[in-house]
Amino acid sequence: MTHYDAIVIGGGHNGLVTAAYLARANKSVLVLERRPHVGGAAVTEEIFPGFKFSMFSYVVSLLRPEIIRDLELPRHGLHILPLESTVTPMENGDYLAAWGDHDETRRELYRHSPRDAEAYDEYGRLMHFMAQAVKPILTKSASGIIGTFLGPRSPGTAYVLLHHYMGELDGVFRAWGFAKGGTGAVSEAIASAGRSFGAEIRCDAGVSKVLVRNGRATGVVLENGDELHAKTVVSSLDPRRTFLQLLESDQLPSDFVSDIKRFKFRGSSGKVNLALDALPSFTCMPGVGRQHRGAFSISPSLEYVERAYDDAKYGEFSRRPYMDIVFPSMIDPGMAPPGKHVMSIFVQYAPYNLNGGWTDAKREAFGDAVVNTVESFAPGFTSHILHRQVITPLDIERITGLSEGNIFAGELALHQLFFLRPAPGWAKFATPVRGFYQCGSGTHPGGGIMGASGRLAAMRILKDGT
Amino acid sequence: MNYDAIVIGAGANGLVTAHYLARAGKRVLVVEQRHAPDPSADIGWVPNAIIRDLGLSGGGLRIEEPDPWITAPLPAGGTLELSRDIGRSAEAIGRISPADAAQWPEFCKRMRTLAGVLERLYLVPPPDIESHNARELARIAGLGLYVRRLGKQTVIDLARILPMSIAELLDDWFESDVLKGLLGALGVWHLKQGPRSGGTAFNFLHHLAGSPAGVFRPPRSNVTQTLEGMKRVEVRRGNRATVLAKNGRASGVVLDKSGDTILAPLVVSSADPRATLDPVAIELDPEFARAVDNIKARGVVARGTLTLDGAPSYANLCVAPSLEYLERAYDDAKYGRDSAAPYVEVQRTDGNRLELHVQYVPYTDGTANVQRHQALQQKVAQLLSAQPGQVRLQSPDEDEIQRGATEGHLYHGELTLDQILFMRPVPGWSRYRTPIAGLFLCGSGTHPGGGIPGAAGRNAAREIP
Repeated sequence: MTHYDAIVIGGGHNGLVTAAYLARANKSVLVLERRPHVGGAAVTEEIFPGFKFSMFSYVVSLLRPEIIRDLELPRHGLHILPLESTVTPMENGDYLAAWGDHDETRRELYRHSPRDAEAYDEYGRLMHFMAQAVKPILTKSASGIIGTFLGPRSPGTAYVLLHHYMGELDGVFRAWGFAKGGTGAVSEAIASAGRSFGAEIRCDAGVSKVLVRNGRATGVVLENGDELHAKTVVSSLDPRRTFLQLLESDQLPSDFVSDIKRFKFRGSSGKVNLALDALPSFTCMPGVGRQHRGAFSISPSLEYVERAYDDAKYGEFSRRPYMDIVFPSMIDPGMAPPGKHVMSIFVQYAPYNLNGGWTDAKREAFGDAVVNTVESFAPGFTSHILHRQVITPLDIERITGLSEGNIFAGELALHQLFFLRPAPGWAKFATPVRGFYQCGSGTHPGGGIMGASGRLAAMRILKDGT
Repeated sequence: MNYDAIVIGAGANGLVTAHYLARAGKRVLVVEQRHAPDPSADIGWVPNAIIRDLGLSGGGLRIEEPDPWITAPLPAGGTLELSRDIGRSAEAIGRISPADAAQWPEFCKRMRTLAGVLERLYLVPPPDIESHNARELARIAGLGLYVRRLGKQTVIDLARILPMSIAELLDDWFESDVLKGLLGALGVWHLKQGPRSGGTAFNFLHHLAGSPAGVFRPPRSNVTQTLEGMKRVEVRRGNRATVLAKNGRASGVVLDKSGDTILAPLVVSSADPRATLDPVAIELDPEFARAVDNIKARGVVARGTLTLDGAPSYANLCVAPSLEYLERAYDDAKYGRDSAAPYVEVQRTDGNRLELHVQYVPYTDGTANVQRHQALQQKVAQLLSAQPGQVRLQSPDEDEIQRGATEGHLYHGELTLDQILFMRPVPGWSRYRTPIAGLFLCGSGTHPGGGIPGAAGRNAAREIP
């Protein structure tokens, strides 16, 4: 029977990062992934023939540059294409655009409000400064609402904005981008790096339990009943599944169990993936052009977003949701057949706990709300839809396993960050069970395709000496 | 007559500052714009130090301790009454939820410990985190040690709970809507936030300061009346005063009506920071002036009285049947409307006067009209099964005119996490000083803020040279 130095449960990007770092330090490592392929929520799938989608996560910006360097990801196929602009259609038919060129953005802001243009520089400097201040804390150890269950007027959302402001690719601050081949290509590159260091990755291998003997993790039991043994077991699953599913509650201190039980997930976003035979033309900026190489943000006013949140507060999906739209095939033609396009719509809010629960009919009604809202900004767009995939938080949970479909494996709320993530006293990747570690987004610093949790967990494990 | 100091405003904080200055031998004049004292009760903890220092007990101070401290109607009829005795409250809660009854004693204890930390922070100027001064650093360290000595649970609770929403906090503990509604109401008290907004758990703890474990409403007292009755300082009424400042130095006040000038080397304002500083903005650094203008003080409470034919059966009635009810009441205010179904509280003061707290009634900058006012009065009367004529309400707009409080906010600035401690009234100026020499602030707009009558006044007096 093979005995590994470490078994990593879950082949999402954080699990793969941990495995790669451990293998790089000459440990024998096995990654166990329940699904047929690695990636977790960072996967590319050909949902409709010829049309490839980054199913869930769709932009790459938070990925830590040191990981790209340490694991030599470009050598393993990682190629990031910049996302150049964000266009926000306004309710009066005008638009507000942020371009890759700072001066152009400033001129654009000036067109709307000279005062805001002045403030924007100041704001940008301030956010940059604050993000730089927060980043060391994270790396050592509209986007203001993304993935949280809060409205824009709710205090604390400024942190999520800051979290996204830290986007950094190859050291360029605030650069957002696509991975060539979709976000699945990021996972593949990390997996390939891991393999090159000697890590073994086994798919279709779901883990049902962690084996614990005398308060120490000794291995895992697979869903098929097989037992595998290792000195160290690392879970990249979210805290709820890591502690309440993989372990028995009598293997953990009871106050820790109650802390984990009250850790909040509340997935609040969905995704609509569309296959198109032509790109939509937005009223505010008609035609097809460079605007389609960036993102369209459907967030015409704070009040619009606040109202979208109001629906969700009372258990309904937003009738007119906040949306972040990208056209990956414009940047990476390989994502769709020639002349055709893929359109990815990130949608907020779609509460996991929908009144009456999610059904197929409600999923389609949600999809209709999304399509109709886009249609109101881009008339005629609906007639170009060839295929439609609607993903609710329940679907995210069902497919990826993420509890309540929360894309960050736990809300990024102030009381669930830093030393409180996932539970007070257990934010440093260790767990109350010796030899059992956690490395997913549910640990500090959490969310986004950042990989920081995975890397920090590997450091901790190596320091503790496996 | 020459004065050493002029205090603007004869509310609890202004009078407390005036009395402390007088005790230190200064000749003090208090100038107040209102002609008659405000008959409404003071709501909030009057710290013992003030009672002791100023001999308020001998001056006729009465602090009310109603028992039961709250009565809330139950949806199926009947009421939930919570007593000062934790066991009796648990019994009452047990009739609607045994699980909540079991949680009650521990909840009361944990919240009391946290409120105790705030009390300690509130009786001194806020910690100066930028300081390099050894004494200040020692003081901050002492505070840290004090909190640590309270145990690991308290440290975790503080870090976890302060940024939370009151809804999240209560959902952690309880299941009963009525119980969560009446507790949650305290979390949004005088805030333009709903119970799901972050920071409302802090607002909840703030209002627990001074209350014993198991009581979740601030005490009422006649502290302003008592202070005014003590003849140690001269109070001149019916005059609105503006600070007189030139070349960065205050030299007295100008009375708006007569145009008379009263000179004094020291001016202390208990009026709100914006109302105090706007008229002398020309003397201020633009950055500072902008920070003052950006103080959030969005009035959302209409206060008033209820006249009933007989004495009611309750001391304090709360209409906030669930957290969702509060959240929906807030939704209306978010878009500038009065709540269709507002949170209403009726408080009986010892003179059998019934005072009303109606939330949310957003400040409208004078655009609210008579119809809107009548509609609100009718709505409140209906909720309380009273006649519209028995309800008298004063909106934040009227509060602004009559009290001069910017946007009708009673606390001169909301108690949100970005406006407390060393950030109150504005970051860097939390020590009651202003950039104008000789001009100090001592009102609710300064640390520790509203709902603790006299605390800011006392802290300020101790900072004034």
